[in-house]
Amino acid sequence: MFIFPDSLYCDVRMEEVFQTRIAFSFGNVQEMLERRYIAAFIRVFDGVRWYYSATSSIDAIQEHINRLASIAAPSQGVTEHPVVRKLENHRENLLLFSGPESVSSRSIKEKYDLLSHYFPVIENYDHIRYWMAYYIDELRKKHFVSSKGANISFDYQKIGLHIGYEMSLNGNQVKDSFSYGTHAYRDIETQDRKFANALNRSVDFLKRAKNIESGRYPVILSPFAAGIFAHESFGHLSESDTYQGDQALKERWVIGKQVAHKNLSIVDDGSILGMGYTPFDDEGTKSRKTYLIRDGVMVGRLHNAATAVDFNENLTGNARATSFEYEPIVRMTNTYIESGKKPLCLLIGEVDNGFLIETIKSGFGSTNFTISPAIAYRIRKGTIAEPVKISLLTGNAFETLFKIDGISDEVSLNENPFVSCTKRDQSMLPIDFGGPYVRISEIDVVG
Amino acid sequence: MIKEVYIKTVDEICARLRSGAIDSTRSREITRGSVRLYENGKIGIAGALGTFDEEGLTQKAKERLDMGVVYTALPTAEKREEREDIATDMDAYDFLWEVEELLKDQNRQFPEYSFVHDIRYIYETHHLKNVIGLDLSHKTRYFEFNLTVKRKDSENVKDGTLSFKLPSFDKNAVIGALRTLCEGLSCASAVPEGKIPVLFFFDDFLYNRKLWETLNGISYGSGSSLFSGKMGEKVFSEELTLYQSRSRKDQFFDAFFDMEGITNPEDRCPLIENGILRMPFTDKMTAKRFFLPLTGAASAEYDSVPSIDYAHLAYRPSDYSLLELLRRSVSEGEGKALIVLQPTGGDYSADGHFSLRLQTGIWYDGERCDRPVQNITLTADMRKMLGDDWIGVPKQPLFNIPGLFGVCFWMTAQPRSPSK
Repeated sequence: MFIFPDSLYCDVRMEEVFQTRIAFSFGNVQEMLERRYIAAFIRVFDGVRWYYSATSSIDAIQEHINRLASIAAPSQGVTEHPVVRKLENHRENLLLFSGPESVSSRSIKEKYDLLSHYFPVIENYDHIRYWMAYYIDELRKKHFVSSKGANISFDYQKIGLHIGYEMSLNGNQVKDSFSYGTHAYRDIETQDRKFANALNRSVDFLKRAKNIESGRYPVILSPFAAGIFAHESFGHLSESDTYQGDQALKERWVIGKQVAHKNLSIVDDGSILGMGYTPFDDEGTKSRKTYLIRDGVMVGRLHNAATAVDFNENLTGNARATSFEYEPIVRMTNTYIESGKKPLCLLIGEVDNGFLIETIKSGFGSTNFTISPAIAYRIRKGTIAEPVKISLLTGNAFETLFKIDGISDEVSLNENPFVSCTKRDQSMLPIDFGGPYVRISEIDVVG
Repeated sequence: MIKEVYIKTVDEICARLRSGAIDSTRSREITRGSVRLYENGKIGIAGALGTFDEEGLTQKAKERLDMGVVYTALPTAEKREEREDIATDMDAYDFLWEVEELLKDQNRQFPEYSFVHDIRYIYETHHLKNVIGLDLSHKTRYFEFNLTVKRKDSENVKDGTLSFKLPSFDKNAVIGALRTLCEGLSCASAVPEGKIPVLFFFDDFLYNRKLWETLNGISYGSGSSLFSGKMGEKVFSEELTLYQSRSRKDQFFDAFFDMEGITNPEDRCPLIENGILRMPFTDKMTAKRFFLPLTGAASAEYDSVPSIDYAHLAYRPSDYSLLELLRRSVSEGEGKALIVLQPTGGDYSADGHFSLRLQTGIWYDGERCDRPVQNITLTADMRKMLGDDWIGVPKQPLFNIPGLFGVCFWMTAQPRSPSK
């Protein structure tokens, strides 16, 4: 297919993409976008440095390979370089969605009808200032070949609906949204009741939400919030390129170290069909289930080939790129907290004065993490009470992980195709997160 | 039927520096283009990545006119301008040589620090034209620096980041900024409490988020902005002037026109002038829908319908140094403000209360950094930040990087909340 240069490692990732985006607001169709493209990313490694090239012209791939080869320094021993040796060499075809299940086989009219089904539901609500509705889908088919002989084809598909709205009443405002995601068109179910529940919850928040006094409180995170917490508090720290070459952090974050309460286990797994599904990563490594924390002990971290060699650990299938324009870097896939043993009612019942965080606006993480709740409730004497306005939950990631003192017995993934992750210059990477309800014994809550 | 064509090309080389060496280089050569057709209040767009086949795209755009996408504004007519902002003829090899030189200086001068940098050399062309006399083109070349600094013995993943753009590869400016930062980070840390002056980079995403929301024409027009209905009123500090900017002077290096072909005198449109709310930012449809002035804040992907998006906001610098501003604001104090160097998230409540978690801040007197601050929460009310708690925009840009201005307010520092 391509002529790979001698004495260099080379791989090519071609991406064939179909996308639909429909937007509706102010009573009008704002967007009916269908997009198709094929483009490629090329990597060359000479044993010292990586050389990358992105092109929107697939006819020019060979030219790009040759150009990168001309600036690299060929080395006879490159095939024995530990990073090259580490790279996997699969030959597999795993196309789940590119046949009749493809979103490209459905008309945009059919997709618009699906979205417009929800318009009468929201139009019946009082207090709505404005609302916007979106339908998106994407079929991304990747073909990866390497000079080691890898030859993989796989695909990924997502479909999503999102209705964002802003309500106001007597000077109070609430911004919230309803989202739904799946992978195959046949799996789309009518979500009227869930949507109405979300709207009712927002109206209740608008009418009854109270301010709170900032302080340190026990907090229960919903599966959605717990998933963000896992992603932000420890997920990003588990991306090993974060501290590749940093001796101080390497010495601090050693495998086998107790890093969390003994009841906590966090997993990353790109092989399950969440929104972060990626059966092979963008270096051709097969994805797998990786425990980051098991029973409170750090047992793994996420790798690409270079970091796996640097840390002398196994590949995990987490070298991911946002699109053909970028090189794969270490990213999460589907990250979740494993279930515990307590029913939710018991978790709540044991809280005298705290909060339940139901939905989230955003989250950020590094050494510290922050979560901005959208809908939250006071827990008073073991019972859910009035909705509350909280602007921020924040804490030191490492301290907070030891303060998880209760985990409920059911896990769910967020499955929201509108949620993505940003790292360095690569934004909008599809990821998923989730978990059970998780109780933190004490965390900074800012009102 | 009115036909419009948009083409953007990007030719970029990015060097990633890690562990004192160039870890990788990446080149990107991407062409994106689209044909837009306007007819009877509808728009049809067809775009392509790579080869631009105008005839084929025009045919597709015609088919898409039937999809019912409403666009009742008039396309921009009779406006022609060609601009080149190119201050360097450096090629890829020269660029990598400059990066190597920067690396050598950095490794020699700051051995106690580790760095991860992404440095990009970008050449972009933007061209928007239509059959009713619009013809705008812009060729621009610039360098983007994303610098991450960490003391080698620090337990943080990173201690500070600096991001800025320059029209030429000014190694001395970069080393100077790193020196100022590293010297400050090497001092013993301090923990402030109570009301303190805080300096944000003018383009800080967390702080700006509520400004974007409140000054967005849709929020303003639909009544959900904190400042809805106050156009023409003085609602901010007398000394606050804020622009929607597409000027290089304000660290904006993209096209001088928006995606609807709107331009502004000197590439700036004042949204707040001496404390008076002049207008929210708008695209054509928002301006039309809510009877607001058009500011030229339309954004779009190459093949999507232009619509309102985050506008690039910039403040007019004052005539005073940071020290002078602090003295004007309060009679006592250290004459220093805390730069928000490494925030780890923050948000506004619906009623404008702002909370920010700061992993690393650093005290700054306008020239030198002195003492880092770790792990505090900063809070303020947005209306007060832009009113009574406004300190101002020092005349000197932060770290002496052209256009990288700071904006200073009083905020409340909370090291740790009491247990409830």
